[in-house]
Amino acid sequence: MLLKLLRYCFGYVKVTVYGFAPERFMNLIIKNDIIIWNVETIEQGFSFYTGRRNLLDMKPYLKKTNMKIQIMEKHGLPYFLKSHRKRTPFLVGFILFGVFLYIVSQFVWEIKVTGEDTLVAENLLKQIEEKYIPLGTLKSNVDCAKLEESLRRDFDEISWISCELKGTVLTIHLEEGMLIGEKEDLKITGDIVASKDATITKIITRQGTPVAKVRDKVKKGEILISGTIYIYDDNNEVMETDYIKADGDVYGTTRQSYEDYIDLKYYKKQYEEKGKTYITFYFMNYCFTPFIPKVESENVDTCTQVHKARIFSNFYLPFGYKTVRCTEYSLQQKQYSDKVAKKILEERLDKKIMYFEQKGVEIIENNVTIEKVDGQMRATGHLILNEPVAMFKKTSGNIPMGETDR
Amino acid sequence: MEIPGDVLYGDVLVRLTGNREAIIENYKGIYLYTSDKIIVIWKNRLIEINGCKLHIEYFSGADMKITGTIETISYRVSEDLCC
Repeated sequence: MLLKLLRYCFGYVKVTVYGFAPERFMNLIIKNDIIIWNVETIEQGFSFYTGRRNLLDMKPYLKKTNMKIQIMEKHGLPYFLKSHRKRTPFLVGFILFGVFLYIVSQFVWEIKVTGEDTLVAENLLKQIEEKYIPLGTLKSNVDCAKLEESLRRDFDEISWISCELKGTVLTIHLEEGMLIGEKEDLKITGDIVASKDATITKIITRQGTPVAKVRDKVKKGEILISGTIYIYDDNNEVMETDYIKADGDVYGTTRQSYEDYIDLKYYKKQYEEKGKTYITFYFMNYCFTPFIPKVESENVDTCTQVHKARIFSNFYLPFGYKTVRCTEYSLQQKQYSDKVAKKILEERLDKKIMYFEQKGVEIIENNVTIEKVDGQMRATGHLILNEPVAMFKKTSGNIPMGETDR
Repeated sequence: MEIPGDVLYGDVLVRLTGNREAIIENYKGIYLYTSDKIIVIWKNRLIEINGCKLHIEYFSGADMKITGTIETISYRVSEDLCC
C-alpha cells in the first residue's frame, strides 16, 4: 500500500522495449539499480513498469544494446499536475477547502449523549448547549473535567460520567445509579403527623410514643406518633423527658374526589395522502431554502429531519440540509357516541386506579358516576382509599406534656 | 559459527511458495524470458524455470520475483554466456 502510494507520488510509466538483445538490456539496467516490475514478454521485447526518473537513466543502456523504447502509459501525481496545470482555480479551490476543513475542525459541532436511562437525552443536550458548551465552541475552550463536575452537580441521577472530545464531536458517556440519599442526621427530632384528613386503620410504631389509635379520625397535621419520650418513676410521675425522631407507618382511609370529562363533539385531523417535501440548506445559524411548495391550507403539520454533513463518524461540519415535510389536513367535526365517551372515561378512571394500586394504595370504594351533562360526558364522585398518611415533621423538642395525652 | 552459503560461496537463493511463486536472489542476470521459460544466470551456471504463464513481478539488482505456474526448476552448466 505504502509502496503504491510512493510510486503514485513520484510517478511511474509503462514502457515497451524492443530490439535485438532485450535480455542484455534488462541485465544492464538491473545492474545499475533500476527497478522494474510487472515484466511481460511481447514480440521481440518486453513491457514493464518503472519509475518516471528511471527513463533518463535507461538511455545510455538503450543506446548500448541498440534497443528502442516506447512509453505506453503514464501514471502518478507529476503527470496529473502537468495535465491539469491550466486548471489553477481548481487547485486553489482544493487548497482553500483543505484550509477551511482545518479551521472547521477546531470547533465543536456535535454533542452526543450515551448511556442515559431515566434522564432524557434531549434535556441533557439542551442543558449542555445552553449553559456550558454551545455548538461552535472552540475545542481548546472545552474543559471536560469541569463539564463532568457541572453535570454531576446538576443531575443527581448520574453516578458516573466521562466526556470525550474526538474530531468535532463531544460525546458524553454516563451511567445512572441510585440517588445518593441524604446523610441521616441523628440529632433531628420530630413527630409523625397526618399528611391528610383520614380515619386511622393501622398504626405501626417503631420509635416514639403513639398518639393516635385505630379508628381515630385525624385532621391534616395532627400528631400521630410523638417524638417525645417520657420516662416515669415508680410513682408514675415523669422523671425525665427525651426527644427523639419518631418513626413508624400509619395507614388510614381517605376520601379522594375524582372529576373528569370529555366533550362529545371533537375535531379529527384528516390528512391528505401526499405531503409536500422541500429542502432547506443551513450553514451554522443561516438557512437557505431554494423553493418552498405552495400550501393552500392553513392547517399544516410540519416534520423536519436534520441531516448534518460529516466526514467519518467524528468529523461533523457546521452545515447540512433539512428535509421538511408538510402535510395538509382538514378538521372534521365528529361526535363521540355516549357509549364510546363513557368507555373512554372508564378507561381513564381505571388508569388512575391502577396508578394508586402501584403506589401501594388500596381502593376500598369507588363512588364515581358517569353521566351526560350539556354536551359533555362527565365522571364525578369520590374514591375511598386506604393509604399511608404518615409524614415526618421536625420539631425543636419542646412539646408540652398535655398535648400528647389522648 | 556456520557462514551461510550465499555469503561464503555466492550461492543463488531460490525461495519457492508452492508452484506459484519463486523469489530469486544473488543472481547475475537474466538469460531468457518467455512465458514458458525463464533462464537466470548465476555465476557460470544457469537456473532454468519451466512452466506456463510465467511473469516477472519485479526485477532489480538484488532480487526478482517470478509468478505463474512453475513446473520444473533445473540447474545446468552453460558454456556460451554472452552478457
